[in-house]
Amino acid sequence: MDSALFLEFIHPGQILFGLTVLLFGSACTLSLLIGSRTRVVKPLMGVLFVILFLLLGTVAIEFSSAATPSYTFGNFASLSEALSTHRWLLFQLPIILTITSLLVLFVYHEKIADRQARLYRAVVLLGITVSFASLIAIIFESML
Amino acid sequence: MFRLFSNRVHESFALAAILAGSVALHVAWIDNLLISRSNTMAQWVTLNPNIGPISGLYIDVLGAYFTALLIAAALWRGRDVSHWRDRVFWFFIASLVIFLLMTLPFVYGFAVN
Repeated sequence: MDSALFLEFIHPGQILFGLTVLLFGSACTLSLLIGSRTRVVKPLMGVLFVILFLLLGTVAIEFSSAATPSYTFGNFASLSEALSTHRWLLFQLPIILTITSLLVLFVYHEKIADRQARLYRAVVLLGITVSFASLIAIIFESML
Repeated sequence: MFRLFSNRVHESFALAAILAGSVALHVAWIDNLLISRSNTMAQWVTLNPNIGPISGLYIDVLGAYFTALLIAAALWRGRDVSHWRDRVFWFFIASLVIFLLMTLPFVYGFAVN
C-alpha cells in the first residue's frame, strides 16, 4: 500500500494517541503490582516516560493541524463538536497525572512498596487509572 | 556513612509534586471557566489564533504546575512533611473530583437567564 494513501486515512496524531492508550493499559496493570513486586517499578517508570513523550507529541501534532475547534462557545453543529472542548480539557489530565506519578516514582523507586509510602502508592495508582479512564472517555466522545 | 545518605527518601519533593498536580488541576478548571465566561480572557490566552484559547490554557496549566512544584519543593526542602501527607493527598483527590465536575460542558456553561 502506498504510504501517502495510508497517511490520508490515518492521522499521525491518531497513531500516537492509539499507542498512548495501549501503553496506559500496560501501565495500569504494572501500577497494580507496585505494592507487592518492586521489580515492576523501573519498567513502569520507562513506560510512563514513553507515555509522556507520546502525549506531548499528540498535543504538538493536534495543535499543528487543529482538526477540531478547541472552544465552540455554544456554536456547534453536532454533539461531537459540542464535546470537542471537553476532549481538549480532558486531555490535560493524563499529562498532569503522568508527570506527578513519574516524579513520585523518581523519589521513591523500590521504596514505594514500603508501608509508610501507602499514600504515594495510591497517588500513582489513581493517577494512572484516571488518566487511562480519561483517554477512554475521549475515544467514546470522539465516536459520538 | 555515605550509604546512609544515599538511602534517604526526599519525601518533600514527592509531596510537592502531588501538591503541584492539585494546583494545576484547579488552575485548569478556573481558567476554562473564565475563558468560557469572559471574551477578554479568551482573547488574552489565545496565543495562536488557529488553535484558539486552548493554546494559552495548556501553557497556563503547565506554568502553574512547575511554579507550584518549585515553590513547594523550596519551602519543604529537607523538612519532615509527614504531617502534611494526609492533607495533600485529600486535596489531590478533591482537585481531581472538582476538575472532572467543573470541566463538564453543562456545568461550566450553566447560566440562569
